[in-house]
Amino acid sequence: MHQKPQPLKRKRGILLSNKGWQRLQVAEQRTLEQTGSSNKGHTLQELSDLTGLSANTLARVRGRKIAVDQQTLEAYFRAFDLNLLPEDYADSDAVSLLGKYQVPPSGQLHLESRFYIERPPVESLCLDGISQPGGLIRIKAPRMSGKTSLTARTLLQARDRGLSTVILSLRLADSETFSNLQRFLQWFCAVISQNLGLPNELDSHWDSLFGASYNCTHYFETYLLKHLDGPLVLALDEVDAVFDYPEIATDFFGMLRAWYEKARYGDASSVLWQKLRLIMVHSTEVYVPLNVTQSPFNAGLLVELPGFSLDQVEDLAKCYGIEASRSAAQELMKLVGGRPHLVHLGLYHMSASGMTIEDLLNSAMDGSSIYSSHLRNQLWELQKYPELMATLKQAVNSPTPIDAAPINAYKLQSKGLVTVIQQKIAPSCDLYRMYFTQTLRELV
Amino acid sequence: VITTQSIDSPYQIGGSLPPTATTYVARQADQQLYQALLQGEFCYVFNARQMGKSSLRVQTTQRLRAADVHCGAIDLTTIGTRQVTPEQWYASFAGLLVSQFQLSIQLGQWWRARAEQSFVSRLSELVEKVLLVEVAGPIVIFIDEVDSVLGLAFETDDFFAWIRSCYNQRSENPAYQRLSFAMLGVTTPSSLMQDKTVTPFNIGRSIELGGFQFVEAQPLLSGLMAVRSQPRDLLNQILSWTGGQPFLTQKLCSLVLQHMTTPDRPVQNIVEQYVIQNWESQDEPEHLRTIRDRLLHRPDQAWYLITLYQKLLVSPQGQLRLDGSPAQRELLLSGLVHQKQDFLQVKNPIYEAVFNTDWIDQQLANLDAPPPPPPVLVPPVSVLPEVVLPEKVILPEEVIPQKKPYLAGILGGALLLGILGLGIVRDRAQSQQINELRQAQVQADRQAAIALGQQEQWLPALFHMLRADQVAQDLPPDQLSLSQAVRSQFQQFVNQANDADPNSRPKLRLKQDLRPEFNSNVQQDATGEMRLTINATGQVQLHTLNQKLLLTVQSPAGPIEQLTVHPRQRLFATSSNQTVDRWQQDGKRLNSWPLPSPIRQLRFNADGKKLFVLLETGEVYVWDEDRIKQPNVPIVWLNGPNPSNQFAVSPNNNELAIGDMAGNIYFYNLPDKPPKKLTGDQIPLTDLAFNVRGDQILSATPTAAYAWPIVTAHKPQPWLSYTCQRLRPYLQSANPALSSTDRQRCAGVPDL
Repeated sequence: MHQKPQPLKRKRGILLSNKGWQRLQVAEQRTLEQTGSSNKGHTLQELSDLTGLSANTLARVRGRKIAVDQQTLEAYFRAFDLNLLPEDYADSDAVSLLGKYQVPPSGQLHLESRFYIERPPVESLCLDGISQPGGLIRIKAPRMSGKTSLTARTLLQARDRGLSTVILSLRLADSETFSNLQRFLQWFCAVISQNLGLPNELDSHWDSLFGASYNCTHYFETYLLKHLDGPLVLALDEVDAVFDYPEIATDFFGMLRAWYEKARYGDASSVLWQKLRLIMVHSTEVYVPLNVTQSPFNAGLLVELPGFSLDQVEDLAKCYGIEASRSAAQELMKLVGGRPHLVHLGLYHMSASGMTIEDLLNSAMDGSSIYSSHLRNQLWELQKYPELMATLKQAVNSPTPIDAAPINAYKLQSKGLVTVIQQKIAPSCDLYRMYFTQTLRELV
Repeated sequence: VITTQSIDSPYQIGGSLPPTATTYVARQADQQLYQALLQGEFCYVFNARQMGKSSLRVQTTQRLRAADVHCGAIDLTTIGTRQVTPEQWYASFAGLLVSQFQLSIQLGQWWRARAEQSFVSRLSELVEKVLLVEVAGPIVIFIDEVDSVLGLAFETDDFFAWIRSCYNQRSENPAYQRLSFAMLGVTTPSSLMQDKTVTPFNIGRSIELGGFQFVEAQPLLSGLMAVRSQPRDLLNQILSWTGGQPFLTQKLCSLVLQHMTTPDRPVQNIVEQYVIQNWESQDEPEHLRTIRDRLLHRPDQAWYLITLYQKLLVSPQGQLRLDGSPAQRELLLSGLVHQKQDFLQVKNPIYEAVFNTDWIDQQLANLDAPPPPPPVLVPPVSVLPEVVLPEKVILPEEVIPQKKPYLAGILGGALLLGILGLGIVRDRAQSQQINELRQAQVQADRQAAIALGQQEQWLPALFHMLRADQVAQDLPPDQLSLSQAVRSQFQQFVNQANDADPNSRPKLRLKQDLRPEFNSNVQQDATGEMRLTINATGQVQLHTLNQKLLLTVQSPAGPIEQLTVHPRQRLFATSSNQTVDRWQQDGKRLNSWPLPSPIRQLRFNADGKKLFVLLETGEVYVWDEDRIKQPNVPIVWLNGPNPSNQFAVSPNNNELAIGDMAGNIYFYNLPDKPPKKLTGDQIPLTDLAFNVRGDQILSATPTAAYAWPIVTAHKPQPWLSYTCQRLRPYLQSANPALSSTDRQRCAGVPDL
């Protein structure tokens, strides 16, 4: 999905990305569980012992405001058995003056990144949504469309207004965590407590006499929400991960919906629940059959994040300092549609290595092209699902949109491979059409 | 960017409206619920999704509080369903009560200190000794999303029985007069609880929740003034499109605000562009898709629901007469239709445009290869007789060279199960319309068919099925002799089959083999010449086969409830009012003995020497002819959680099977106790028997028939799979006599 970071000669400043921060939180939580001290967080001193970094440096890393060098982060990650991945950090803009030394874009853009292209009105809608007492927003778009960047910016704005924020990717829960509801919800509570810098109080607030949903609700009501002075914006990223566990999905989403309703009861606890603002980020249609009034997916505000428009691609091309930005944008649109990740990737290479748009078009299908790694990844993912391959093959070989089973259509759409037009599907861009026409001919 | 809901809009789409909402529309139900609760009545609001139940609860709570009623709202979804134990569920419920009413106890400690009590009795104590003591004045407990109990892995009858008991206790303990309940959900009372004696729903008041009427909908007007200074007509148009459906009405108001770009843009235009066209992608928050999913989510129901809806849609008036059948109830709960006087109608023009005939055709096409369950997927009955025409069951030699009648039997078996399933469904639907004798006739025939099917005598079984079906299909009683026509058609077929293959002659002597030995309200006597029925006043009547009444028998013990005919002699036995009588066929009463509780079933064993009696309590008494002695001790006593309703005696008399209302079967090998339990489908059994060899227990529910091997007692596959698996090669053969409908007959039924 992402290319390996190119060796950088000087890279002074990087910051933990939301993803990296979450991975670290989860790993720290795991270590705490293993040592049996799960009710307290690590002290800086303990962390210093573990990582070999000074308490001062650790504070900087964890503050996520001041840039640190890559070695520091790597050391920190290693201490928790993690490899530092490109998506775990973002560059601080000071380093990438010309964009030339920027890592190829992948994952979340740094909050201050000038490569973030606004797609009005989604930003203001999100901000409005979390400003509502008990608000609920759902951000839905295919993978690598900028959902997490949008979420992060929304959270930043929320913090600027004095709201507490937590972002949690549910993809970070491992299958063991998903093995039963109690485990999952305890993990959920523990990670959120930790994110908020609050001690884990599960021991005193969780009584196995009661059901897991009840306990989790209780934990929020009597501890987390009560403890916070102002509103809490809780962003759940990649909630799709839960769809694979119907046993958990029903009760978990039912609980979230009940929380949303609690803010509307008009009784004593409503004021408390109005403090909670929920953002749910997902890339797939909700294909788990959920009991409808018991699901958060039919309440609140849906924000569908569209691909880039031509103007937006052109703006981005300008950011990358590309000349003849209009015509480059037009050509790029033809090739990759408005798929944000592919647009970024193309423009980055044009900017960083002096590639022209013609070079790019001519080499797009080569094994060594800038898109080859992305395409191979898509193919590799796809190979796990023969029925999706068959459907995609039909779609790329048909000049007009085709009918497809809704579930396959949703899944392909969530991978960004197809667009759904009036219940029919078509490849989302020429690049995919060309690539999959060729590769699937041999494979299926 | 799709955002159907603008932040600034005064209208709210989806989710309950907060108590302060200015666009809340108060309906008749608001007043009814408020008044009823104020007077301490128990209430329930059961309706389709997104009809405003929770908003109604929020508003009613506000009003009741203003009248000094203490209200607590318990949303059962916060307790969860999937991985929660009974104790956790009850304790969580108790916990929600404690926090809603701010009770002073430390619940964990309190609950654990009562470990010797059942969960429900702890809940009961909490309410009586804590809630009613600590909270003075009237109390209402709202239970929302009550249908979520249907997802639990354990039974909640005790829970509802407890709610009922809170009502019953009012006469003894006046404190209970201060307590009432309101339950809300997408369900029906009977799905939540079947036992009529302890259900809270027959003492509770059902609150009907209709669409918004124009006069009620005035709070919606002021928002519309932004686009029209005199918005009354606009609101009227909106309501005529939505039929007042709350969700759609709020949504359409909001859409009108957004899209009334020119002052005279027709509402129709907005509806078409933003609601109907591409509705599946515009339906946000989900509403139409909810209805679609509710119709389609259960593969065993989908076909039936869609065809029922199709019937409604294509009828000249666009309506169906209400019959209270489960399918109609399910269609109502989907929200697609509503009840208007005695008819079902589509709720509004938007639904009609979205779920139109094209949509139906598309769904039915997709349902062509549906997953298993029998009752709703069986082919329409009207085509069945066509299949049994003799020339169509003559099989190509290469498929099965020797065993033609055998295969014909399998074909018959498939049909049998088909009709069996359909017949039961239809039976419920039409029970009001079929007069009692005919209903009993249908039932007797169906049971005879099952009995014969157990003996693998498919052809006579099929005969019974066909006749049952003919009778069930609204034919007037004087055409009952139609069975003669079917009979001769069969005889003809049998003769042909016999002639074609003399070596495997089916053992088919219609007159004797058609004798049903199984308990029912219409039975033939041992000679097969007499028909015994129980009439509406509880008398047994003996008719000849051509409907001549010979004799009427009345028991001094009371109206006759059950009847069983001796398999070998001209004798029969009846039950009435906890008494069993044994009669000669000329009306002379031979014996009479009283029993301690109500009687569920009577059965003679295979040689008629023993008469077994099942009581509601699960006790079985046996009356033994050889010992002419009145039994006073039950031979077995099933002390299970569910009332017993069926039982069967094995051919060798040493084994008994008792079925309960949850579909479980308890198998007794008589000297051995306790029984072996065969776990059922949570649906009451409709029939139970042993096969002739006594090595299988055969059971039927409205949705499936099973043959349980006694030795292993493993849960078997439903018969349909068994039959279809054996039938498939024939259906796939090149035989030109097979119609395309025939070829589809086993489509979608999985192999074993």
